[in-house]
Amino acid sequence: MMNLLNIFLVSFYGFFQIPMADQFRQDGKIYVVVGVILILLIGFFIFLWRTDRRIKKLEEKANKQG
Amino acid sequence: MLRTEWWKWLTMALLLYVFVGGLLLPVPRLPILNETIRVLYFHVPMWFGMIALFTASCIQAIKYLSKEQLTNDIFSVQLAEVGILFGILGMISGMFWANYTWGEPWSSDPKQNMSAIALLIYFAYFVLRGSIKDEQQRAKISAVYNIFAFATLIPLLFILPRLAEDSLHPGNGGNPGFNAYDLDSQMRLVFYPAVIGWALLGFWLATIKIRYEIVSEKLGL
Repeated sequence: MMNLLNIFLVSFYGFFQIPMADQFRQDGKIYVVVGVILILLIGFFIFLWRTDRRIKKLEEKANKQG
Repeated sequence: MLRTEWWKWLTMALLLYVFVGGLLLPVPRLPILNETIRVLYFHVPMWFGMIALFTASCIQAIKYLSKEQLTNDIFSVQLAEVGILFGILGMISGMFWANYTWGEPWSSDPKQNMSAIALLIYFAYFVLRGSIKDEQQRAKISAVYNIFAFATLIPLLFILPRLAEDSLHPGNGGNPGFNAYDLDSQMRLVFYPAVIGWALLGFWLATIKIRYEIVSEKLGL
């Protein structure tokens, strides 16, 4: 029953436009958001990769000692 | 654990795709959720990641009990630490999302309450570890507790919320399942890579912590 009601509601609302960020996307501003996130994400990955490398060097050092 | 590098490149590629695709690819137009439906790509993988990490942590705890190697204890605790991080982030992000979609950050929804209990059980794991000085004893007792915690995690997250009368979370209680909420084929294209990518990131972070612990022990730091 809940299922039916929900499907009905969803299609009922869908009939009238559901507000989405359409204008924002059309203006191309979404690419600003994507760009900023990509910069942060790539920066974070570089940091993580370098940390990984540093540990690898320590492991090599430890293996030589042991 | 995985010694090769390819899966780290896979993690980065998947997450880059998830952030770009998650923001740009089309999603179903649903009332109340509107554009926030995209949060699904980030909030839900936190929980999947947490479960994957806790599963690995539990396996390591069992391994410790059968072999009594301290390395397994290091694996177990570090995996659980990253798991709890994912759980906390999943909880906070969920509350933030709920504030704008369900009207309040905490609706005492069955799944919210049960996941809070599950997190508290895992918090106790770290309290327990902190209270035991002897290394072997700490490893053994916390391994047993870890298995117990994992055994309660499954009913708390997967069974009890589904038995509840009503729930705001899709797929629980009287609510329609994910399919009725249109986790349509387009959303799956981002959602599945997101789950894999975030979980892999969790394992990557855990391996860094594990390797750090092992190497600092070797170097006597």
